[in-house]
Amino acid sequence: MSYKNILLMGKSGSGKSSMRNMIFSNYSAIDTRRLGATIDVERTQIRLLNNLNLSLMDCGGQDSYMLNYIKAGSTKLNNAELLIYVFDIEGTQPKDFEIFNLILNTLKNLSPRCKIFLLVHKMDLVNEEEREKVFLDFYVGVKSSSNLKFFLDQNNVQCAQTSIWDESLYKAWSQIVGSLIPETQALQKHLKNLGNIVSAEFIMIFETSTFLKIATHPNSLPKDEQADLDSITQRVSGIIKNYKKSVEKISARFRSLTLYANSKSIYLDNLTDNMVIMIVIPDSKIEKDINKSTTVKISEEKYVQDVIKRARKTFEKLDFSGKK
Amino acid sequence: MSYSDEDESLQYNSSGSNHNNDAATVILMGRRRSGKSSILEAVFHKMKPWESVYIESTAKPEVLNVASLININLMELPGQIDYVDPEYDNSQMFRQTGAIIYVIDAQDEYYGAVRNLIRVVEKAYMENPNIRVEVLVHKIDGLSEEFRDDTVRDIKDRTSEMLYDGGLESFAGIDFYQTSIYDQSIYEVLSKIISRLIPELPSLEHLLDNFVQHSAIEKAFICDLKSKLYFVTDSSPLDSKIYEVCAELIDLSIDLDSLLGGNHDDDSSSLEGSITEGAITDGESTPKQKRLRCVSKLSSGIKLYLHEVLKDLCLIAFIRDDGIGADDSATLAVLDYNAAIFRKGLERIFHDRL
Ligand SMILES: Nc1nc2c(ncn2[C@@H]2O[C@H](COP(=O)(O)OP(=O)(O)OP(=O)(O)O)[C@@H](O)[C@H]2O)c(=O)[nH]1
Ligand SMILES: Nc1nc2c(ncn2[C@@H]2O[C@H](COP(=O)(O)OP(=O)(O)O)[C@@H](O)[C@H]2O)c(=O)[nH]1
Ligand SMILES: [Mg+2]
Repeated sequence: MSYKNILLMGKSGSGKSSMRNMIFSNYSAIDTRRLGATIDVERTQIRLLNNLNLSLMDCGGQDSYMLNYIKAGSTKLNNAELLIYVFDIEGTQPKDFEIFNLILNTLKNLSPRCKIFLLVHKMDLVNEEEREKVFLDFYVGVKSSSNLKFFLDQNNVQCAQTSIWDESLYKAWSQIVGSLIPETQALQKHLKNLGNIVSAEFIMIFETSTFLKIATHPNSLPKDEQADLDSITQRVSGIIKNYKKSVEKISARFRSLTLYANSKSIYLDNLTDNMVIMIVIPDSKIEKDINKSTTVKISEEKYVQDVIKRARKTFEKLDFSGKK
Repeated sequence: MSYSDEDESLQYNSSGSNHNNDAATVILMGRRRSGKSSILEAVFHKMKPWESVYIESTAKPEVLNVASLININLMELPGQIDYVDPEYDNSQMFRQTGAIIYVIDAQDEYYGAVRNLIRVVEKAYMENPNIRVEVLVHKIDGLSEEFRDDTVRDIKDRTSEMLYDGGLESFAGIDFYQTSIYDQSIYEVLSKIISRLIPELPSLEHLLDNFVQHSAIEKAFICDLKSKLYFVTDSSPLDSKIYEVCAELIDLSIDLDSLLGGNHDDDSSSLEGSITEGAITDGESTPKQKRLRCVSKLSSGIKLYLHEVLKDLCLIAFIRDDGIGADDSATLAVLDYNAAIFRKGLERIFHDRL
């Protein structure tokens, strides 16, 4: 089986293992306090969707390790698909940029096609009003680093701000995973169909184990609305993830959820082994042709469940790896 | 059915004002920094546990009014004032109090706290022989698992020794609990303490027992949606983990509702309006205030059912399918039906009050 190599690097204490454990091992933010420094490299194998196999290498960030990775003959930087490099917004010193540049230099030789994802982390420590500016200034600073230019020229660099204390973490990692998934057009098309059938306000698809967002419908909105939808998506992801984790305490696994809220109905269900679907339907749409009693509500539920059931076959056929 | 503090800033009512005459009073006491304010903030104002480090020391008595199934004034007495000082006239206070919650910091040296507790008990018992004293051995998260029971036992032993020395060995109204704001324990313990103060508890329990029997439910709760405290549960033994999951379901429902559904927090509908659900206005222009209803299925046939039966008050059922595989939608229809009957029973019990 072939794996895509993902490197997770950055100075010691910048928050790499915290992120990895929150996204892939169900840690909560508070749990990360008990993490010790990573010794050398911790490798995690992750399977997302049909055949998207990742090998995530969490590289301990103490200087001696970092210098080791760039030594001639080191295989760590070989064949890398993606480098995720973490900067602690508070604890980054000029010396750290030197190491970063050495890594980039080596990577340029060993994996020239590698994509780079920069995470400016621990942004919760920055005053909320200044966050955007501090982030942009930081990114501008990093970009002027000459060794990044090679990757910038190939359009292979992305940057996001993160904190384990808010949804920005999920947003950034959704972007990261999104950049690894091949064509999602077919998925998008089916979502649109589905949305029409159930008069959905929006639909979201999450990866089952990480609950990272894979796709949403609608998928292109005006900038403001899109930002709103993104933020809602990330928060939903966090809320459900938390719930999934809590039901494990009674040795159970999450299956589905139906919520009749104030003016919306919300349905969450497994779509395939790797995908959970969430459908949000505005109330008025369905209330038009039914009366208000609770028993009828259940038949609405049945209708939506039926639609999801029929959709399952279609979505199972969408083999992501087949489009490579 | 709402907390008296309407505004978003969620200030405590300053003491003295807003005292509700028919409200039960619960006093929170304990040494400085034992965690009293943190408990109130975490449970009633949704403060994250780690944010409690920024709470400033409380300078004067503060009252938090909680009005739901029961109307309670929770009064925090700051630790630095000596309330059992003969100079300080507290006889009135203890006479009107349903329970004293005494908070002891388990991570600190607690001998002084126990001594202070004894003086409080002596005084309170003298004024009000029916008073209950609930001792929270708090911040228990900081102790390793194996050390926790020992600590509580030690505090318990010292207390009864000193009660004995003071000739109070007959005082039975004292209980000890382990709590922490970092997990659900504080919710469970406060639920227990508060539910004891509800005069209608026996009839409510009976109502829940009926509900449970008729719907093949393992455990049922009546919970406050805002604080997640349960006021009543059926008479079967309580498994903390089940309550914990039910509390998580409340969090989830409230969070998803406020994120996607809109204005559940908006108290626009009057109390009356919310009880007579059948008579909701039909006009297109007035959106009706709909009640939350949530059903979640888990593996191995577990279902969680949450239904807001009165405003901010929900019925929660934990159901474990025996594997016979009854039709889900039929099960739910029965649940909805029984929940409606349950609501009627609740209205009957509270007819006078509502
Ligand atoms: N305030 C804040 N603290 C964070 C954040 N992310 C991580 N931390 C804390 O930073 C500390 C170090 O995190 P680790 O994840 O162990 O750091 P690391 O990058 O893996 O370090 P090495 O393994 O030595 O390379 C932990 O105590 C985390 O709780 C964040 O977003 N905000
Ligand atoms: N570890 C831990 N710390 C707590 C807990 N509850 C409160 N604290 C901390 O105890 C300190 C004092 O709390 P505070 O509520 O101000 O005490 P008060 O003077 O009794 O009102 C704060 O730093 C809280 O963060 C708990 O359950 N566990
Ligand atoms: Mg690490």
